[in-house]
Amino acid sequence: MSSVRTEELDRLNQETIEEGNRFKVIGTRPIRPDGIDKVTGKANFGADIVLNGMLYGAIHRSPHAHALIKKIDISKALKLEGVKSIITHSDLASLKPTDKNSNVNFFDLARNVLAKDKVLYDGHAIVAVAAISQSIANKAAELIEVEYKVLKPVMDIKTAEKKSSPIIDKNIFTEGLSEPNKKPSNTAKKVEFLLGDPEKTLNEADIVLDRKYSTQTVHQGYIEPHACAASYTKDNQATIWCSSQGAFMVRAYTAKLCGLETSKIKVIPAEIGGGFGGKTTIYLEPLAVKLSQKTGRPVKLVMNRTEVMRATGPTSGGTAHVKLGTDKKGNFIAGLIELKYEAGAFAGSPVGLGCMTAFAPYNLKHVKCTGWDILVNRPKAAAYRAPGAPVAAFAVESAIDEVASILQMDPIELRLKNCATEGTTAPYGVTFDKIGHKECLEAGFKSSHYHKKLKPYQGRGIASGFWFNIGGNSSAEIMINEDGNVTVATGNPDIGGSRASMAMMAAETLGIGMENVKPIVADTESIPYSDLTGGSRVTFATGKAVVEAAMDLIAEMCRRAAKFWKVDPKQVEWTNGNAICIERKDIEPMSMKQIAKIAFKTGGAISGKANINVKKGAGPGFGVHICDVEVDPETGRVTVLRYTAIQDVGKAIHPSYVEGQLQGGAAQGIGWALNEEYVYNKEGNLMNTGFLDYRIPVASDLPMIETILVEVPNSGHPFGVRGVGETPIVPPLAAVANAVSNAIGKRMTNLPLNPIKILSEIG
Amino acid sequence: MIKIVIPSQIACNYTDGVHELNAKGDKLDQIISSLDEQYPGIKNALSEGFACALENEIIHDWFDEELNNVRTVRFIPAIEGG
Amino acid sequence: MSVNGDPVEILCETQQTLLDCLRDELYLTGTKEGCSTGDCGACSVTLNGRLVCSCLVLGVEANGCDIQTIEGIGSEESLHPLQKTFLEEAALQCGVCTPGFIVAAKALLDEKTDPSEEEIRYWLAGNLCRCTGYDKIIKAVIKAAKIMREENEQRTNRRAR
Repeated sequence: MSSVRTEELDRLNQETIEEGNRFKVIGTRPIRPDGIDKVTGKANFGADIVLNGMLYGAIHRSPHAHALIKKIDISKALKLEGVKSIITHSDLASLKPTDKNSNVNFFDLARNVLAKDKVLYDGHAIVAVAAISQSIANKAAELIEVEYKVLKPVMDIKTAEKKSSPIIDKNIFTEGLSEPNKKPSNTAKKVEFLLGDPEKTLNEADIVLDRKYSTQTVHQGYIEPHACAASYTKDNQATIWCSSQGAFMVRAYTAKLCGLETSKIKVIPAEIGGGFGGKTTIYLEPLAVKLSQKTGRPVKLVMNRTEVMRATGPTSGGTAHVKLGTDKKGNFIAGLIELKYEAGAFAGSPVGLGCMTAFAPYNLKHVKCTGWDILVNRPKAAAYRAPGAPVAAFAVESAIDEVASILQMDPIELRLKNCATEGTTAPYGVTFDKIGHKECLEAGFKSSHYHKKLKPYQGRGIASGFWFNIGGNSSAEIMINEDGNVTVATGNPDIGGSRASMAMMAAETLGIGMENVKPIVADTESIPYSDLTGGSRVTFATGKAVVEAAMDLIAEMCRRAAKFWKVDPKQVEWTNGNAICIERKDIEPMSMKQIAKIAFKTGGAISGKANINVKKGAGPGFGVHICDVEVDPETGRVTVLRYTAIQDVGKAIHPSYVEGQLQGGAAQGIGWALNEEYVYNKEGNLMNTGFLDYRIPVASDLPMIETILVEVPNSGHPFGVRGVGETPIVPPLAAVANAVSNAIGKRMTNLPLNPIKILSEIG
Repeated sequence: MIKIVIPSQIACNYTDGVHELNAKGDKLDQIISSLDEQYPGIKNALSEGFACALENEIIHDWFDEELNNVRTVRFIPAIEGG
Repeated sequence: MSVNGDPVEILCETQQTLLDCLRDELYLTGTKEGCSTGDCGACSVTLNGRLVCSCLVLGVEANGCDIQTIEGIGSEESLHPLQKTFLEEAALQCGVCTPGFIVAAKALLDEKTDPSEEEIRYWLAGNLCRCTGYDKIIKAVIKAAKIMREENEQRTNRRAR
């Protein structure tokens, strides 16, 4: 845990990156442009907004996990002085089960933000109140009386699958079965991916590892609870201030649930205090809009931590059954996995993505991945960093570790023997271009960490991870101000330093300094549509939009210079931040400051823009993590001694924030592996609704997290960028579990690996 | 001939459970339209929530992608992110 | 009471916490609410020099006290060494926990000029960060401590001269 060692390693890593850097700005580590606001407390997050005449909202939530709503009595609450309005599901737009698009089922979303006829999990919102103060709103919410017919809760996958168990949603008929289901079921969907003939090939394997694994529901655990304020005006326009991973997502979803046209809503993004996928959907916004519409005053709604835990997030717990067949030399022959994921109370767990990622890091000709999406009386699952992948990787990477010990082979060597490389076809049908899995494994093998000797009760685990990375719709506009500095506007909320990377890419392309660029996150009326901040797409796709906008701007600046110089535009080139006339040496180059001065003379203000859908070139991400643990045989407590995260990042724009993504993802994965889980009682009430007993890793739980950035440039991006945010949460579950298993000599297959489980194994 | 692999929930609803279909054409929307004549409704179904894997890329919002040198088109769930 | 050296007078409801008073009555929104149960440290302030979670202190208890919040630590023109090193070391991603971390770390460095990595980790164990894995935060605090020691030394030397 000594910091000296870590710093040395960091410096080495830093040098290898920065030495070979052919860029001026990219690859350096400038101070982030929004940084000062954040270290001085000036940055405005979702809950910080204050509006004139503002009312405060509160929500009445279900104390039952599964119950029919027989009657809602709001009369007592309405009589309370200071209460201005009360809404229920019937105040939202009336939607049908068919109201869905490719991303979201709005019928379900509306029933999730305010329950309709039936409550489906402990903490399910039923009624929202607006009052003149927070304390009156809270009191009013308590005065709401709901009469229930309590039903038996369905809390886990096993119960959900039983024929005798209650049906959570009568509209669900299992999709994807060869024989369509005639009766409603708690199983929403079956998905399957098949490559070759795995069942037959498995019989030919010398070694077949057949093992079952399980994980629990976990929460994204962002520190900032959901918060928003909305103001509805008489001309039927609404403005929403909120923290989210996508202002355009908030606009579209809220419009649908409120029955408004999309363009009638303006969303102003606040700073976002963490999301990790959990803020890619809405909970409060339609309620604030409706309450504001009814009262004619702005309404602010802020969740507390208990509400966040009971009713937002989480990601699916699940089970996995792996069969991995290899020959005597350790060549993988066939892989099968059956995944069952909890969807929560509405269909839509990320089990399909789990299937697609499970064996993707390996070169396997015969693969079958089967996934089941299963309803339980828990909150509706939301995205969480590399949705679906960590649970699948936990199973597959644990199995590989066990195969390595059967073969008495080094676990990295075994992975190197089988790893996917350029030309490998993944089970989901894509043939990889140049990818960096092999390079990451080699970097791991070469690291000093991997060769450090271990003591008794200490163990080392390694695991790989994969994430697709995506592109999508991104918009960027770069404006030259009168002083020659530029403003870079994008439509993507900055969740972890993206304004820094946008500014750096703009500066690099334009040939100017970072100090001349001001990056901003624009509201939904100031920039064209942009997809969510998520899926590791922003630095890649929005970065690409910024580069294209900068090119557009350069072209326009060259035209203006040509006009001013009265030369053919073809004679003007852009070099090192200046317009240069190539034919005429007597003409002095013109800087951006000078071009700003001639803008009005030559045709008006100057800007460049790009509104693009990046369909191709996202470049998959691969990572390898190495974890050392020590297990205390008396208490069963696991201490992480040393941790190294290695990842192919394509090209690190701002290496510090790339390292930060790897370190943060690793820490979340360590929490998932060791401590975190939703604990319910028999009635289906969540028992650990706060950070005291839903314990995320704290500073004293972790060592320094070493990082090794491998840079295999992505040909799909002008600077070689690959998305980096998702991949780092994929390997840790197995890396930690493999380390613990190796430390105690017993295979640990059920997460989290808390002291109780460890003690019961080592007795 | 290009092989088109479709997810099981589409296969159940539109093709009597057949997962692998064959079609001819130069552009993606063209071959899917030709499938739609054979299996009415499949084009719309594949437009909702599905991306497609085309050799080395996953394409969202698929439209008139060129199919030169493409042997297999595999429809997969759209990739969401966290 | 005094907030960041300024005398302030507010009326609050008896159940309002010091955090509510700072945020809702004084509009000092740099102090954040992450849990309201004293588990996350986002609301860290000092009360008469002692580090507290302002969500666990009632407004009325702060009557007559000296409160320091993030808004009182450095300014845009002259950042506190901790604010500077948090920026240089990229010790923040989303930044919502950052004010709490800086207030808490300052309370540590005011008390102890050369804490070990372990001491820093245990002192900050009451502050949750979900983005960074703490690595860069710890490094920023170590670096700030060094800068502060050097500044102190220079000051002492100047005085000696």
